[in-house]
Amino acid sequence: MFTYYCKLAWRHILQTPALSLLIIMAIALGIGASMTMISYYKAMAHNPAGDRSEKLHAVQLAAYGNDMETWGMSDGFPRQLTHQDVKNLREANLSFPSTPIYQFMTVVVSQREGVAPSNDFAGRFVDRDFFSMFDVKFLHGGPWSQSVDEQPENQVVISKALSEWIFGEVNSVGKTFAMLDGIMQFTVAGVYEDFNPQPAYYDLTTGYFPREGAGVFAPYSLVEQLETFPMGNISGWQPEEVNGFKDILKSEYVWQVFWTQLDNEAAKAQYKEFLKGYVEQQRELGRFANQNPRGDIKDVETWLNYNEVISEDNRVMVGMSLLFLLVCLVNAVGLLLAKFMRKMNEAGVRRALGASKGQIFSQYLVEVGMLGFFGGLVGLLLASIGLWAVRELYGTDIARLDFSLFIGALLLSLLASLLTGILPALRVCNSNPSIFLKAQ
Amino acid sequence: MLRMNKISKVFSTDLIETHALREFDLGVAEGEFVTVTGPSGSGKTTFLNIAGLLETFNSGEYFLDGEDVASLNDRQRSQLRNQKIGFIFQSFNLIPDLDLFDNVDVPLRYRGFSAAERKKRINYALERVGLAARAKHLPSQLSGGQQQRVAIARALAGEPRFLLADEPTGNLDSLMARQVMELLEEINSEGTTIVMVTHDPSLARRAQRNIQIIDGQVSDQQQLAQAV
Ligand SMILES: Nc1ncnc2c1ncn2[C@@H]1O[C@H](COP(=O)(O)OP(=O)(O)OP(=O)(O)O)[C@@H](O)[C@H]1O
Ligand SMILES: [Mg+2]
Repeated sequence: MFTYYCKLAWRHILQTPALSLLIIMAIALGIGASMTMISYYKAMAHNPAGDRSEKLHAVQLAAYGNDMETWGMSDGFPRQLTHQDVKNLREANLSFPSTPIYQFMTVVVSQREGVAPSNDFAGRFVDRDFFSMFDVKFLHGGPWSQSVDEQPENQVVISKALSEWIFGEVNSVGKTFAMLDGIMQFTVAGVYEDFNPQPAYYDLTTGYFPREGAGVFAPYSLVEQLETFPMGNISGWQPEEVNGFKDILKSEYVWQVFWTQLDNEAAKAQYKEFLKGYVEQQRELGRFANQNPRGDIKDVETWLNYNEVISEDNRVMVGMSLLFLLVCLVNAVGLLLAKFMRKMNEAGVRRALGASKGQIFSQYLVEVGMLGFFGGLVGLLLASIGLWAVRELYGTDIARLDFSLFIGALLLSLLASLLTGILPALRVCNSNPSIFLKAQ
Repeated sequence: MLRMNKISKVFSTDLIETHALREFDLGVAEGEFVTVTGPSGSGKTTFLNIAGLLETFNSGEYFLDGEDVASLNDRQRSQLRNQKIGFIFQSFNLIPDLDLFDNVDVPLRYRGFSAAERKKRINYALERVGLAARAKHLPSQLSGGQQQRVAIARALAGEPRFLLADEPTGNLDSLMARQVMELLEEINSEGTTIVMVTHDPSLARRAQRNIQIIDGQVSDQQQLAQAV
């Protein structure tokens, strides 16, 4: 019977091409808009840290004075840390893996013929633990040795893309190239496969969804001697006289992030205790002179929410797109009613010839389902165009249609169309056949 | 075959109540050919629709083939209609966008026959009405008489025991009307019970029995001389 219904539906669709097309477009527009927003939302809501999400923690300190009540985010913490604090946290030498991060500007010199130096590759200062904490996958070599974190050496870890750009080959371990001012020489310790988690949770200070991943990682131990200005956000709570990089290092400006890996509750408790002691100690030195001096740690999930990677706007957009879908479906109901009204006589004949109400209902629901299926396919096409526009608009590389979204869109449109079709199909099958058999 | 006791049917619209049938009594025996006549609006079509389970009634009893139909649900009624009853209408009521083959196919689909069985029956039914060669034509490509013959083929394809015809010749000229009538008589002679509404007294007389409906009631029954 189902194939019979499909055949009839297909025939009827071909017979009323304009109405059918309108219905398909109504469903397609609704599905296209909502799938675009849902896919975008889903991509943003992604937590790329996976099972490390509960272990990795961003450290925060209420490092401001002047007897202020609050500063920074709504919970009274700035998102970033001062260099002094990062330095102290690093040197506390707790047994937990940890790393500071800040992004710096760099000029990299290619060794290939005729290629001009480039500042397209972002650099970040990190400690050796970064690579294991954030699961960087090495193709060749590895992180610099432990000793480099204390005794700085001009070693770096670079991306496959950068290695190819500089040397024209992937394996450049042990080779040397010029970076930063374009003169200073650095040796390649390791080459990693692309590292660009979306959102870039490890360092949200320079954009949530960067199109390009990190190009170079250099030892944080080099920060003081290289005097390299940061690229991300810098903020402060008091005016300070800054005449050079050394002044920033000593200032109360916040501009770095610090991550630590705490594998269990005991570790977390221990770290919180440590922060408490640290805050006390700093207060004695005259810092943290605010009304509620304290420290905090936030795991990845909390950190993503805290930074509003998904903003209220995004939620509103998803809601709006679903409303739009609803409007489209209401329109489709009207169009379907018009389409099916013409079939009242046929339905009456079929009833007279032995079709039950249920069979008539199924016949028309199959037709609606078919329209919904086509609407879903066109909707997917619109959604991929929409997502392309989103990527262009926000300059990100996220939000692509994947298989689950593909299936999801088809299911959604089928479900939506069946819901839409219930009323018109009921109208057809519940009409009194004898009325329509009389008139011709 | 058919037994109606005190059937009443009231159509209630916003303003008026129409008593289309009042205490309607009728029995039709297996194999009979009954014609129904009566003034316009007297309830002939209403009677036929109730007999064909297309319409429900307000009170009374109706036994079709010994079965009390009042207790049946829509699915059961449809199944009964599909298996036992064939309908022929004044306005043919072929489905305009299906060719003749697919039109005759409709009742067979709801019967659940296999494709081969359906094909066999469709071809046989179309042959029977002399239109096998035009199976791929659309109804609009046929004359009125031919269309009515297709409708008869459609009603016959499922081999119903009971054929209900509502002015089947009403839209046809007298020659075509006679041809259709002859076809129905032939079908009746093979054992199918037929109830036919008609306005044509000459056709009405050709049946074994003619009943007259006036104002929703059987007013007159005439056993007509006819050899069975
Ligand atoms: N669906 C309906 N709703 C309201 N009234 C109806 C309906 N169908 C029939 N009637 C009324 O019931 C009465 C009987 O109608 P019916 O169609 O049975 O007459 P008929 O004998 O077949 O007439 P005709 O010879 O003109 O076809 C009429 O008064 C008609 O107006
Ligand atoms: Mg009538």
